[in-house]
Amino acid sequence: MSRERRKRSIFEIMMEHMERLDDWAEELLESAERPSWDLRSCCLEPLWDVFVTDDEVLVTADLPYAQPETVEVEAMGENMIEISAKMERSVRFADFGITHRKGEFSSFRSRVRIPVPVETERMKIHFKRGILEVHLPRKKGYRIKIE
Amino acid sequence: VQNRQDVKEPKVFGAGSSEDSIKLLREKGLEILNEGFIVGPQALIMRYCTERELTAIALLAQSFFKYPDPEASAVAIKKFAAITDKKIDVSDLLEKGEEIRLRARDIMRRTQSELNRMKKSQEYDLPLYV
Repeated sequence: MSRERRKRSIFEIMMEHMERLDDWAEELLESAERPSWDLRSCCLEPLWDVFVTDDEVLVTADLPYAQPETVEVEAMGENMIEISAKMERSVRFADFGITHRKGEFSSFRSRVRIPVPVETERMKIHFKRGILEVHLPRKKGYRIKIE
Repeated sequence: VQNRQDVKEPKVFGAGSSEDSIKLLREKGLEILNEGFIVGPQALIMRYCTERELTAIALLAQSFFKYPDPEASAVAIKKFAAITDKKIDVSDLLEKGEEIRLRARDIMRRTQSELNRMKKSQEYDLPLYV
């Protein structure tokens, strides 16, 4: 890295802080308790998990009743992916034994935040026995020699 | 297990509360759980049985770590049926596998967040033995 550092303007520094605040607010919102379903979009949120290894990030999701040909993973920027799939049959609240709500769900949708930088364009997707596997290669960082 | 997706027939391991029960498991051709530990209610039951010298066995099937796994349950039940020479039909459990996974979604989510809250990961901490 070059030793000369360009002097940054106060606005640049402020913008950086604002961005960090935005990220933090988004994370807080995501962690807030909310139902695992959304009536407006008729979506259920699947169970998912993120596992970080040395060279990749593995995201898995449990998608029962999903039609394999409709399973989609979309990169939403650098640190977020969106998983979606249509279900073979729709389920109603009544199927869960719930009578005080009305509504039907026909697909899965979930946004998953990726905790470390990854190369989303090299993402690989497998769907086996109802479980989705998304492999995201981690970005290589630079090394600094010990002086 | 990590690679549960690639495992067609999950393995079942057995644990016993006494020498006799371990012998029984061996006779029935079960692999004994030699490494690792058991937690939760069944661990307590096993411990009390050992203290009171009662014969008890625990059957543990390889399963998904974070997802409901009716297939793994079916395999464990099948092994139990084989040990006790009883006929237990698990076809319903397998047929309704997807339905169970869908229904168990919220309770599993709740379980995961509770496990995080009670610092379940402490189990993996390395102890300070010198």
